[in-house]
Amino acid sequence: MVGIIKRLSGLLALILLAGGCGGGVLYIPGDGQGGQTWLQTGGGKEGRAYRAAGVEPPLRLLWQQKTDAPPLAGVLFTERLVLQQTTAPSLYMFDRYSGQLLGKRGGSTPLCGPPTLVGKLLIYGELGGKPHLRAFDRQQRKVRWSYAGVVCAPVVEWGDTLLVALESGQLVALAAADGTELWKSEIGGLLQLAPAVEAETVYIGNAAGELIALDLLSGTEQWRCDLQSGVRTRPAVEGAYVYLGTADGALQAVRVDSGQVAWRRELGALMTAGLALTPAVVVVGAVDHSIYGVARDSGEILWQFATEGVVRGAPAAAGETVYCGSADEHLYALDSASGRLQWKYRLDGPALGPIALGERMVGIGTEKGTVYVFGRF
Amino acid sequence: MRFLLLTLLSLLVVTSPVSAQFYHFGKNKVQYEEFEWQKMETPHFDVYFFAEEEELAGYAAHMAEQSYYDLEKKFGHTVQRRVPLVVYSSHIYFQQTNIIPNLLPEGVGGFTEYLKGRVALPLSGSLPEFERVLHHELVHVFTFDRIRHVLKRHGITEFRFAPLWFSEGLAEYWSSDWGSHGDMVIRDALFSRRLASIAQMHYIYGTYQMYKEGQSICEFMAQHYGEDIFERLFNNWWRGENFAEIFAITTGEPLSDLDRDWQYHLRKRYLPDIADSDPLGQMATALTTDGFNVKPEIIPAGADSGDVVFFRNFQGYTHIARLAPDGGEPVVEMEGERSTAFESLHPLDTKPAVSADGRFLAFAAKTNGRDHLYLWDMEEKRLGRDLELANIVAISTPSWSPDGKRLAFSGADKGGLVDLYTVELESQELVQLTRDIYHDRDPDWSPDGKKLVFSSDRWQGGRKGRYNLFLFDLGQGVIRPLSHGEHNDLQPAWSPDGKWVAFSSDRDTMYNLYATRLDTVEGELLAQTQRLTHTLTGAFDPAWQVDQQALLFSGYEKGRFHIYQLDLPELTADADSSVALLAPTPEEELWTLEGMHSRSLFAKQKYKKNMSLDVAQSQISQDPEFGTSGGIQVGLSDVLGNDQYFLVLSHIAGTQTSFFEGLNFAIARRHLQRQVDVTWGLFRLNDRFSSRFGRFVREKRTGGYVELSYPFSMFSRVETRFSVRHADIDREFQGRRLKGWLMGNYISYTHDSSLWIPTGPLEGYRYSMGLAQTVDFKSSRRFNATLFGDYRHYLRLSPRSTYALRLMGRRSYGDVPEFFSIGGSWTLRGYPWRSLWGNKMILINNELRFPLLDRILIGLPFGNIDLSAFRGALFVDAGNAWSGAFDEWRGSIGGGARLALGGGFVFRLDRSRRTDFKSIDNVTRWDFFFGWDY
Repeated sequence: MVGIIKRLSGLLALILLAGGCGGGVLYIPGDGQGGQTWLQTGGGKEGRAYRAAGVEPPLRLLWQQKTDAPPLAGVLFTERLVLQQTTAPSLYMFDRYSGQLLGKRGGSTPLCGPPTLVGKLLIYGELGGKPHLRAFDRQQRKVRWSYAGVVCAPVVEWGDTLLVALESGQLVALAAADGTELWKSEIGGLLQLAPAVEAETVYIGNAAGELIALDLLSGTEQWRCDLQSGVRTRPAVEGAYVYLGTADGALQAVRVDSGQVAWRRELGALMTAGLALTPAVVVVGAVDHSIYGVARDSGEILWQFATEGVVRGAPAAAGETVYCGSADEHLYALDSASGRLQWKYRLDGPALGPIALGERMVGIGTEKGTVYVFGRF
Repeated sequence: MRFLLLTLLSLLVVTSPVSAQFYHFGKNKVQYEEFEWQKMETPHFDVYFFAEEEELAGYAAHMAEQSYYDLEKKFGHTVQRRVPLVVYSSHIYFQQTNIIPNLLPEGVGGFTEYLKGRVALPLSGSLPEFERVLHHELVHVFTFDRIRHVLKRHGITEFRFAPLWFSEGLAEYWSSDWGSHGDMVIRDALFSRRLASIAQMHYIYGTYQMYKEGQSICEFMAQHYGEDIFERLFNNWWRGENFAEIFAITTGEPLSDLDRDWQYHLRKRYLPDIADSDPLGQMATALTTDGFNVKPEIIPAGADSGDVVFFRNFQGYTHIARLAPDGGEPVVEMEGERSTAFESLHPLDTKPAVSADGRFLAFAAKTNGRDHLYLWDMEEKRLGRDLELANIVAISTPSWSPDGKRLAFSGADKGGLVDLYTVELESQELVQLTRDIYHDRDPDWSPDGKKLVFSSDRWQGGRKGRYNLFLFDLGQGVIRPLSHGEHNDLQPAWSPDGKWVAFSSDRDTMYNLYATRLDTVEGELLAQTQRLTHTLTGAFDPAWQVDQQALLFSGYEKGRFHIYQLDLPELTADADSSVALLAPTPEEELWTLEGMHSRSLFAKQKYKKNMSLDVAQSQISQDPEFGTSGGIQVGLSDVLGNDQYFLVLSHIAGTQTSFFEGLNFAIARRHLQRQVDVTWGLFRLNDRFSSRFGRFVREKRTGGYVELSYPFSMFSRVETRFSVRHADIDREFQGRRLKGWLMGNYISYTHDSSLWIPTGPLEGYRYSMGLAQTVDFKSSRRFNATLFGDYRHYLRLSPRSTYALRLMGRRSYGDVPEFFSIGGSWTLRGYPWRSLWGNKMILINNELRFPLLDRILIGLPFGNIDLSAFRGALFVDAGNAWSGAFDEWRGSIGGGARLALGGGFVFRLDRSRRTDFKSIDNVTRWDFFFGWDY
C-alpha cells in the first residue's frame, strides 16, 4: 500500500514538473496543509507541538536528501510535499513519500526566519535593503502581497488572520488573504519569537524580559508580566499556564488569568527556542547537553536526559513520545513521562534545528544540509 | 630560529638570479632547548607538552575540558574540531615557539592562532592565572569558531572579525572577575581624561587599557542587555557588515548609545572615589617624569648611600637606572636588552636588590634561553658574577642575606612550578625552601637574617588567584601566615630596623601601601597594620629609606609608572588591627588542584609530525609580452611549526616552448626545532628574469641547496649556504650566453638590535657582512666572488627623532661578476630606479627623522580614514655603482615624508635635488616607495 502511494505521488509530481513548473513543484492540486503543518519553534497555534499518534518509535528512515546549505527552519509537511528552506537561501521540494527531489527555488535575498505554510501561501520574512514579509502563492507562483518590516519569527495563523511579530517591537494582525493590517500593537523590546494563541488571547515575549497578553480581536493589551530576563523561548500555552524560558536559564510558568509567575525553575542554561507540552510535562532542551522534563503543575524537574552535545533545536511531542535533536548528531525519542530513551538515530551532522511532525512522519535537517524523514510506514 | 620575514622569501632567494648578495635583517627567535614532545588526547583537545611538564599538561588538559564545557554553554555552540593546545612550563620556553613567527614580548600571556586554531600558553608561576589565561584563549577559540560557523551557515565567505576591544574584552570578562588592576586603569583613565570611548578604541589599540575597557564594556553589556547578549550577537553575526550594525540589529539600539551609557555608568561608579582618595602627586613626590619606571631599591651604604636604583625604560630599552636622593635626571647604571648577556631584565616580574654594603646589585636577566643571576659591581661599573643555576629556568626578585653571603629568590625549574630558593654565593650551593604547587614570590630577607617574608597563594583564597603574606622561618623551616583576607598582599619589604613590613595591597579595591608592625607580646607574635596611602590609582613596590623617614614606591598615574617618594608620618600601628600570627597552615587548609597528578589521567603518546596546510594559493596571469603563466604555492607545517615544507609550481605557457620547458618548481624544507636552522631544497626554473638593474636575463637553472643558520642570540647569527645548479644563462643585454654546472656558497654574519616605530628603526644598530662565491666546477674557474657589507646606525636625538646612517658597499669580481644597482627611493634618491649599475657599489645615506603629526583623520562621506605616524625626513645621499674605475660621487639632498598606512605598509615620498658635492642642480625630483625606512 505504501509503495503504491509512493509511486503514484512520485508519478504525479513528475507529470507536474514536466508540465512546466519551472523551479519545481510547490503545489499539487488539493495539496492543503491538512492541519498537519506545525510551526517549527514548538509547533501549533498555541505554541505547543502536535500531539499526533502514529509516530511512536521505533521509526524507520523513509528517505534522506542533501540540500545546498544548513536548514533555516524545520521541515514543512504538506499533504503531498516536504518543503525545506535552507540558509542559501533555497527552497527544496521533495515528494513526501519517496523523497524524490521535485524542485528547488533559489533566491538572492537572505531570509531572516522560518517560513510558514498557510494553505497555498508560503509566508516568509525577507531581509535585504527593504525588508518585507512576503506571501508567496504556491499555486500561482507569485508574491500575492507584502508587508514592510523585519520579521524573523514564524508567522502564526489563526483562522483567516496572521499574527506577525515585527523585530522592531510591534505585533501585527494581518488578513491572510491580502495582507491588510487589522491591528497593530506596540509591544516594545525586540521581538524574535512567535506568539502563542489560546482562547482568543495572544501571548508574546520580548527580549526585554516581558510576557504580554493581548486580545486577539483588537490587539488590546490585557496584562504585562516582567520576567526580569529576556524571553528566549516561544511561549507555549495550555490550560492555566503559559510556559516559557528566559535568558537567565529559568523555565517559568505564568498564569494566563493574572499574568503572575506561578513557578520558576532554574535550569542554568540557555534553552531551545521552543517547548513541547504533554498533558503532564513540559519538555525543553538546553545548551548544557540536556533535555529536561518538568512537571507542568509544579515546575519540578521530573527527568533530565543527557546527550553529548548542545541541544538547540526545539523538541516536539507526539503522544507519549518526545523527539529532539542534538549537536551530538543524533535524533532522540524519549518517553515524555520518564525521559527514558526509546529510540535514537545517528545523523550525518549536528541537528540544531527543530523537529517537525507530520502525519506518521518526523522530519529533521542537519547542519550538513541533509533532510531526514522518518515514519512508521 | 625564524626571522621576521615571510618564510617564502627563502624560495625567492633560490630563484633569484643573483642569490649570493641576499641577506636580511631582523631579530632571531632562538630554540635554545630541544624538547621531547608528546601528546595527550582529551575529548576535545590534543594537548602537546614535553616530558618535564607532564604534570602541568595533565592539569591543563583537565582544565581545558572544564573551560570547554563552560564556554559551550555560554556560546551555545560546539566547536566542530579538535583544538590543539600547546603547553609551555615557562614563558622563556614559550618565547621559543615556532607556531607563529613573531617575537613574543614578555607581556604576552598566551595566544590563539587562527590558521590551525592552535592555542599556546605558558605557566607564569601561578596555576590559577594559568587557568585564567587558558580560559581567555578558549574564549577566542569559541568566538572564532562561532563566527565562522554562523557566516558559513549563511553562505558568507568573507570573515567578519570582531573588533579587538570586543574579542579581548569578552575573553577577559568570561575568564576573570573584575579586579583591582581593572579599577586602577579605568579610574586613572577617567581622572586623567584618557578614557577612550568605543569610537576611539584605536587610540589604545592592543594596550592593557584596551583589554580592561573592553572587559568593562562587556560587563556593562551583560548587566544592561542580559548575560545572553553575546550569544545573541554571535547568532546575528551574518546579518550585519560590521560590529555596529550587528549590535544595532541585536539590541535595537545604536552602538553610540552603549558608548554613552557605559561612560556615564563609569562616572557614577568611580568619580565619588575622589572623596576619600588622592592622586599620587598630591600625597607623594614624583622622582621621575618620563618613561616607565618601576621597582625602586635604596642603596643602603657606601659612597652612594641613599641613591635609588630602579628599572627604567624611556626610549625603548629597559635598563637599571640610578637616581640621587636630591633628584635630577636618572643616569644609566647598567644597560639592558641590547646584548646577549641581558636580553631581558623582566621589569614586570622581578626587581633588583642591593647588597648591605651598597656595592653589588643583584638582578635576574635572561641570557641564552634561561635566567641568570647577575651581580653587578656598582663601584667598578662592571659585571661581578654570573650565576647560572643548574635546573633553574626562570628567576625573579633576588634578596640579599644581611651578611651578603647568600641570595634568596623565586625560581622555576623546567616543570614550571615557582618555589623559594637560596643560593650561597661562594659555593653556588642551591637550597630549595619550598616545593609545592603554590606561587611563592617576592621574598625579602629580614635584617636579623632569620626570616623571609614573601607573598604566596598558599591559602584557600589562593585558589582564586589571591596572594597573602607569609613568614618563612629559616631556622625551623616553618611557614606562618602574616596576613589573611580575600585580597592581594604583594611585594613585602622589611624596614631596616626589622620591626615593620611594608607592602602593597588591594584590600580596599585599590592598590595602596600598608605597613605591618611585628611585636612579641607575652610570647605571642602580634601583627598590627597601618595604611600608608589613599591613592586613586595604584602604589606598588615599597622600598624603605635607610632612616625609615620615607618610602619609595612605583606609582601608576596617567597611564605610566613613575618612582615616588612618600614621606612617612610617625608609624603607629592601628591597635584595632592587631592579630596574633597564625600557626603554620595545616595541610588540609591548603588548596589542591583537581587534575594535577604526577601521571596524567589521559593517555599520552609520542609526538608525530602530521603536516597540515598553512597556505595554498594559485594565480594565473596574462602578459602581452610574456604570455600566459600560472602557478600555485603551498606551505605545510606540523602543529608545533618546527618542520615546514614549501612548494612553488608554475608554468609559463609560451607558444614557442614545450610543456617541460615552461615548467618551474621549487621545493624547500625547513627544520626549526633546534638552535641551528636547516633549510634545503630543489629547484628547476626557466624564466626571463627582470634583473635588478633593469635588463632581462633568461636563465634555466636546475639544482639544489642547503642552508644553515645559527643564531647566537636574539640579536646575531651566522648564515651559510651551499648550492649546486646547472645554469644556462642568456644575458641578452650583454650578448653573452653562459652554460655550465655552478657551485655557489656564501657565509654572512648579521647583527640587529634596532628598535622600531611604525615607519622604521629609531634606535640601535644593525649590520651584515659576508662573502660569496660561485665556481664553475667542471672547469674549476671562479665564476664570480662577491664581498658585501651593510652597516646602519640609528642615533636617538630625542625621544621621537633620530639620525640614521647607512653605509653599504658591494664588490664582485671574476669571469662573470654580479651586478649591483642603485637609484630610487630606497637607495640613492634623485636618480631613477636602478639607473646606476656595475659590479661595484657604494652607498652612504644620512637621514634625520622626526615626527610631523601623530594622527591624521580624513573625513569622507562613506567614513573616516584614520592614519597615524606621519613623519618627516631630511637627507643627504651619496654613492655610485660602477664597473672599471670609480668615476665620481653622485649625490642628492632633500626632504620627505613618511606615512604609516597600517599592516606594515609605509608610504614614503621624497623630494630631492642632485648634487656632485660641488654644486646643486636646480631640477627637483620626486621619489616614492611603499616600504619602511632603511
